[in-house]
Amino acid sequence: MTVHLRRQIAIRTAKGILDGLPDATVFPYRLTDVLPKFVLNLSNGSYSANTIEMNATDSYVVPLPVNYDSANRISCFFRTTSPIKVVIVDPELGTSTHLIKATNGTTKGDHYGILMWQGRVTSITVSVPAAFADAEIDYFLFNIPDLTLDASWQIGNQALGVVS
Amino acid sequence: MNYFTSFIGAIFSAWSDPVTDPMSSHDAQQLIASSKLNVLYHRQEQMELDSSESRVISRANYTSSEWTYMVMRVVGKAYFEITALDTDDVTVITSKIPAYGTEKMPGIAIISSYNITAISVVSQQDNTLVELYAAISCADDDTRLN
Repeated sequence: MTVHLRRQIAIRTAKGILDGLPDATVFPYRLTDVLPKFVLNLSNGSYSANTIEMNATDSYVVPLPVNYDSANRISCFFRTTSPIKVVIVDPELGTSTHLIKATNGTTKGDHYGILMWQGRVTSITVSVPAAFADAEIDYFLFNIPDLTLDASWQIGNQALGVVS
Repeated sequence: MNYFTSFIGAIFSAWSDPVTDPMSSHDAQQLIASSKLNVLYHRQEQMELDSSESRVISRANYTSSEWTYMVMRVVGKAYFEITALDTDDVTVITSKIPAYGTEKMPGIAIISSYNITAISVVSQQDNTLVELYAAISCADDDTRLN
């Protein structure tokens, strides 16, 4: 499997903001300085992705990538249309409970909630708190290699390929 | 003040076969979206932290119920350490959101949350470079936008 990966963390400033807040450009520039695209040739085809719809009080255990070993790190990305709760069990950092804020609808506007991180994971469970509306949740999880080896990224002894 | 964002974080897509333009695939398109982020207050900082060093992130005069939006770019290894209140506004919840990367492929952590009572950035590796964007966001009907 080949994973084409683009890290595009752009903050596109609104018209006029540059005049009023010159400092606002500094950090966004550095963010967009992240290399635009990588190709990782993954030898183990290990990723997990889906779009799920959940009602209030629903709970869902997110499947981890196939063959994933919690000794390694994965990159995790969640996007939701309504507030949700995420419980992450990390063998290194312990259990985390995190609320993702989002809004939708004409009054409050459609603003996605996002949670993204790279770490070790034993389990991930998402749920919609009782007081909130139905949520549509996108997620994408995949193994990340040992980034200390720039020329030949690998997980443990398993070479994943090279950056191109 | 508004930011128009593509705060999508990493945009990933996967195929069994190489394609000409991976970003046009269905999987990628599902994750790509630009939306307007209403920003009441924002700040950028850069810091270099040794292992176990931490830095408390303050959010000026805003209360814990505000919508906190943060992006952290990491060369090295660090995590957000967050204390917040659950949806009942009483129960204390905690989380550690890590990021890990190198100069070639920096780690990115993004949080969009609320009810946060305290946030720190904690390094897990010497000479970890952290760039941080922190914002207080709000819904479209927030009167403070006027």
